[in-house]
Amino acid sequence: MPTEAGQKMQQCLNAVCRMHASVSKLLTDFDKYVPWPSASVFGNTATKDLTYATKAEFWMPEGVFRYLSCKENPRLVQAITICFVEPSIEEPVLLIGQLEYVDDPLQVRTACDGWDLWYLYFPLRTPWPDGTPVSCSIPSDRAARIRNATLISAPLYSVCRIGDLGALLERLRGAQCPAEDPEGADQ
Amino acid sequence: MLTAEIHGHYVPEARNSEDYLTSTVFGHLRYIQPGPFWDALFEFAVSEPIRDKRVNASDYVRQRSGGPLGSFERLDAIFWPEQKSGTPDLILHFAGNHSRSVVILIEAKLNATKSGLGEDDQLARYLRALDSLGDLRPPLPADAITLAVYLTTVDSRNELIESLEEYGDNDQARQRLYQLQWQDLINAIDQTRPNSRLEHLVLEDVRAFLRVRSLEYFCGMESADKIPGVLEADGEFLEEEPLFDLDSIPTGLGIINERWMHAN
Repeated sequence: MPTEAGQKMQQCLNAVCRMHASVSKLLTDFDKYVPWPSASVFGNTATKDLTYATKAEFWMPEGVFRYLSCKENPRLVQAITICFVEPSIEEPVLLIGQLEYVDDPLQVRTACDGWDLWYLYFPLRTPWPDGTPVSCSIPSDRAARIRNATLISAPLYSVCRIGDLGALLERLRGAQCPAEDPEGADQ
Repeated sequence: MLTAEIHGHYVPEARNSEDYLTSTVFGHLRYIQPGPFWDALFEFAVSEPIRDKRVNASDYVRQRSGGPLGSFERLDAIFWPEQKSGTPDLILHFAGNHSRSVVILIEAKLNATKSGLGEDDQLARYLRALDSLGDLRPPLPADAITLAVYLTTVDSRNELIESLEEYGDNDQARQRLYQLQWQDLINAIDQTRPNSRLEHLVLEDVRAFLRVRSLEYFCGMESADKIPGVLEADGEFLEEEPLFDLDSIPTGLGIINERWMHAN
């Protein structure tokens, strides 16, 4: 006997699967918008830290990412991250960033962490203006690896076409960034 | 394969085969004779920058032959022609109505990258093969306009640059090596007005097949009206009657979204 609750849950799960399919295309198409020939720092891997354990709070990836290192200057990386599961967000968030690393992430395995953009954005400082590039203050536990970073955020579901992604990247590149509010960073 | 997959019947092993993909798609597209579709498709095939500007394969053909691909009389598709330099996936030969025909060599990939490094670089080998058409089997007109297209699912700039460096990077070489993505096929079909019922059928089927395979570009997130509505109260079923022994499953699902998904 079908249940209403179960059917609603199934609809939700199906919608989540469709979201993943769309985000997968977004990650793939991101490559086209990076201005220079690049190499993917993590190959085809888009997430990590999933648990396979029986005892778990959830099994869904908290987020996905793609980091592209510039062929000419490998320490320069443009990256995209989509945040799905984080207690402080009201909807999935798209993050795009440009980072300069201390070491070449293609040579030094520990130079770049797939969650770098995530931890530049969270814990959420308020207010973080969507659609406006922000020059990030680097958290102390990442400062030895990341020289500087600029980040722009947008609600994932505000991205209606691939051109929106291109526009965000353009804004990021041409940014005269305000620095992140140091008071907010301490919160 | 194409019709079966459109209707959800497929052989899982075949889904990861680039040969099946190439065969399924171009095995149907070969029935599309020279016309707007081919020009639309190869407009999406772009070179590495030549003096800061990318050229597309359709423009290159137009400049060299004096007319668009659609103005040729006929198209022959030659699958997996064996060459000394290897076996490319496909050669498209546009001929007739012009003094020189056009030979487009296509190397298609699904999940893999090109084979060979250095001297053995696959695309560099194929560019060299196109330099001496007389050696190709089956033979093609020696004076044909030639170009190579690297068809992939992801941006392939890096691979093209490596191949150009191996072949000898100059403006002429850049004008003869192009990257194209499988996803561009849908865009080209969207831009094409079919010339006949048969063309309409073929293009519709290929588009449907590529969509089933998710070989299309990102086209926006789903709109709110297609996403199921969930209210706070919808999570209460988990609180009221445990479906399982809650001691044996993890608690704390509320962390996902405190408003509606409570396990404890």
